Amino acid sequence: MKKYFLITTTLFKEYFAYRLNFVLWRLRNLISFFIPIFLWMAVFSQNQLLKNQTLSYFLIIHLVSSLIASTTTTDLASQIQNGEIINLLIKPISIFKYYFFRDLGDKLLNFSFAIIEVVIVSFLIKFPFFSYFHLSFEKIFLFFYFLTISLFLNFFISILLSFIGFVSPEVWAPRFIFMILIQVTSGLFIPLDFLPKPVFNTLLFTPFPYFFYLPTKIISQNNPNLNINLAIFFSSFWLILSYIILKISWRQGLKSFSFWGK
Amino acid sequence: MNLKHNLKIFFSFTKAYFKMVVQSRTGIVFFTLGKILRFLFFLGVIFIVFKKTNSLNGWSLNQVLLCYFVFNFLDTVTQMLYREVYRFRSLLVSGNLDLILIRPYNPLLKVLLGGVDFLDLFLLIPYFLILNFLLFQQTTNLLSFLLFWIFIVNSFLILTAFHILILGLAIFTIDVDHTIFIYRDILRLGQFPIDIYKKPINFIFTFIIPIGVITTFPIKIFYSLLNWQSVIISFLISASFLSFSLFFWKKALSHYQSASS
Repeated sequence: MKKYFLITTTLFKEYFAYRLNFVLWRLRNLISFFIPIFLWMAVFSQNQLLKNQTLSYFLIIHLVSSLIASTTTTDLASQIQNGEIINLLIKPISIFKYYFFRDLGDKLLNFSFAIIEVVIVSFLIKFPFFSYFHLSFEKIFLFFYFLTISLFLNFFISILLSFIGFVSPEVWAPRFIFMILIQVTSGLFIPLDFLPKPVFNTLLFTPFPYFFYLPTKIISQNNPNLNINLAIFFSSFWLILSYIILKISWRQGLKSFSFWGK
Repeated sequence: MNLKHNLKIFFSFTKAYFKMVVQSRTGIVFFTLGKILRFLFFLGVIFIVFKKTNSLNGWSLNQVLLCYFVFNFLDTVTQMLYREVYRFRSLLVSGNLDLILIRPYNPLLKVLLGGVDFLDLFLLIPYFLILNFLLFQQTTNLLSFLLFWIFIVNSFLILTAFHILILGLAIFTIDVDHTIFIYRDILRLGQFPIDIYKKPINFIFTFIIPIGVITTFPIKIFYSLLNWQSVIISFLISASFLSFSLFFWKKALSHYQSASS
């Protein structure tokens, strides 16, 4: 395992070498974080309870999304296309573990910065973030359950999107669509339960609410009003399905992969 | 003669870029679909917001819709015209900017306008038509309509200045990717009227980084909500931003030391 933790520490060194890049990346996240916060504050300016509930939701989803969405697996697509993946294949390491441990470093750094950002924003909007939550064992357990599911679901799907590089040079267009779908259906801009009921119920059958919405909703509200059993079933279903497709694609991809001159 | 010459070069760049873009048809479909999806989603969000409240800090549904279409129209126009800015970094790191600088035309013609992205026309035309439909639905006063479009041109000049500033900054920092996306994220604040943000954020994003001038002022002038001081300030902002960006670009070019540095 030691060699994999070295991959994580190497990523830290890489990021600290390009500090400005990372800071600018977090700045972008912070600006995107502002828009829904101020929009919903304006909407619920007359209703303190709804305003607090919505604010707590957006502060938590900022933390959750920084932990889940940060990934380095997007690099894999270009590595497949320019043949650099060969350098990884000939090493005595698993390519999945390699990216998992790179992601671990990426997530830790992004999450640390997101905590600082949430504290600053809570202070600026005078929101009593830490005194707002009433946690129970059940809520904490379900939160970590859905968080784990979403971490792996995002990891598997992101690698799958990079595997498109095995069959097509157009790797960015499908990823762009995926990013847009995540942006609109994972609750980053609007709590999904604000959507019309039929739309919300249909979304629960798709993998998207399980990325950020479910963990956030469970921890941020005292009565999340969710069918937990259904959510557990569909989140597990999408996780297993994405894992199976990932394994098949990897095998097929390696069979068809060829590169010369390396 | 100079204009004719520049137009000829501009159209030859555009033609070459168009041929390049149509090579990846799948990409065209996916990118256009993604943009339509995002546009529809945020449009839906506006309607959901107005199911929960009658006004957004004093702004009605029609006014917020107008603001959203102004944002999308301006964002799409600039993305269509200034797409080449997104590729400026590769020119810098490869040293290929040298090959542009030695040519007998203004280098901005290539690095700013050298890759007009016709794909955005698919979205720009509907935005333009819907925007005009919304305007005519709310007034028959031609003066309001005319003032609105004068302010849109003013906004376009500020956005052009932003792009030139990003190009100039890139020569000093070799970074375009982050700055252009930070600009895009900041501009996104303007998809809703800037007045919905709290003080001092709305002040900062109106007078220091003039997002409010770009997306909210055209609507305010249309509804006669803008005082004459703000009218003067908005034109002063665009003039000073554009002049400064051109000055900065020239300064940056004089510091350019090619890829070997």
